[in-house]
Amino acid sequence: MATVQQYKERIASTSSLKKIFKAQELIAASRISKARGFAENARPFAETVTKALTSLAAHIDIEHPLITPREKPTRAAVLVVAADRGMAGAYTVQVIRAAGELIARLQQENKSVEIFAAGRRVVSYYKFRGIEVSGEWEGDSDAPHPELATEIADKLVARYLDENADNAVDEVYIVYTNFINMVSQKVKIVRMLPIEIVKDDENGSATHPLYTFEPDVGTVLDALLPRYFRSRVHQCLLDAAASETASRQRAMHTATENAEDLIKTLTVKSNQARQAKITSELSEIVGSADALAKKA
Amino acid sequence: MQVSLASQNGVLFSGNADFVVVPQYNGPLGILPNHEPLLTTLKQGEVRIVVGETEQKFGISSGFLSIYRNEIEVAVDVPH
Repeated sequence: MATVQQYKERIASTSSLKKIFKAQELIAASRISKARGFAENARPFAETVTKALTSLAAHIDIEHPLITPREKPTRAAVLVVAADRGMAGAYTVQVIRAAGELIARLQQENKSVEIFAAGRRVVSYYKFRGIEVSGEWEGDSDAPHPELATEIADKLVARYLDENADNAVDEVYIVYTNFINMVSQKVKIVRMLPIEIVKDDENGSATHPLYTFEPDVGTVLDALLPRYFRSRVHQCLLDAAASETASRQRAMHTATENAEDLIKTLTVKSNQARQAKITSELSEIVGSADALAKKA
Repeated sequence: MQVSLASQNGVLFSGNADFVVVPQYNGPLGILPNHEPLLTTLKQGEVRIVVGETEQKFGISSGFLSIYRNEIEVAVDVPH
């Protein structure tokens, strides 16, 4: 059995750890509102673009390289989005696992896969295993700004529209964590390219205006589609950021509680040790007093 | 007419306006109420929104514009 002193030391170190966990939990909580603010700011832009695109799709058949699926897809790009830092429970691990399954499935379909990684943890995961990463982005995983989304989106589009058709990727997937609410986040796999446009048939084409396109449909689409793609990527990054902070807050909350439990257990043990010490001291005193009394 | 001007960083302008000028791909385009439905691209320049006596200006690097039934929606990229 350890001595009282040893228990005291362990209690002291556990309580200082507990303070750190608590602080991390509070930081994560404050970051969530920040991430939500970003998402709120990005929404009007996304809505404008989506609205224009759906009303456009409702009355003409769009043909554009970013929309038309390739006949025989042989190459795929996978963007894996997770955290820069740890301390978020299984957040990054779950994303990487889902990405692994997706990559295996694509390879079974005889597609070669290129990996793009966003988040330091993801980059180091693949690098450590000697897996080639075609694009990497680090920093700001918990507060992704529009410029980051633009950079990632432009790179993916460039790979998709590579002039050398044999080298271009035919499909682009993104693996990220969808933020449902504070307690529930789910890893999601989305095919981003070619873009699938959801036609809202409910309203019918009658309610959609006959737009004039200037200078022409093609040019308007050239301006519209990359923006649409960019705002989709941004949305995914924002979702991932909110999920990351929520996971971190939960993980740190659990860690704080575990530290409290440990402190309780250690305090009980420390008391027991002290009691045992007192008991043995007492019995020594009584024993020696007895012996002295018998002699006399 | 209702005008909303948004970039990926947030809403720049939202509300009623009397007159709007945007840098269309081939030159400035002035928009008055009851303009025909239009989808067009914008180039680098200045979006001017006139409300009554006041005028607001926004610099943009590119963007696009949609007009439908007196609702003008402009999605733009702003210079950094």
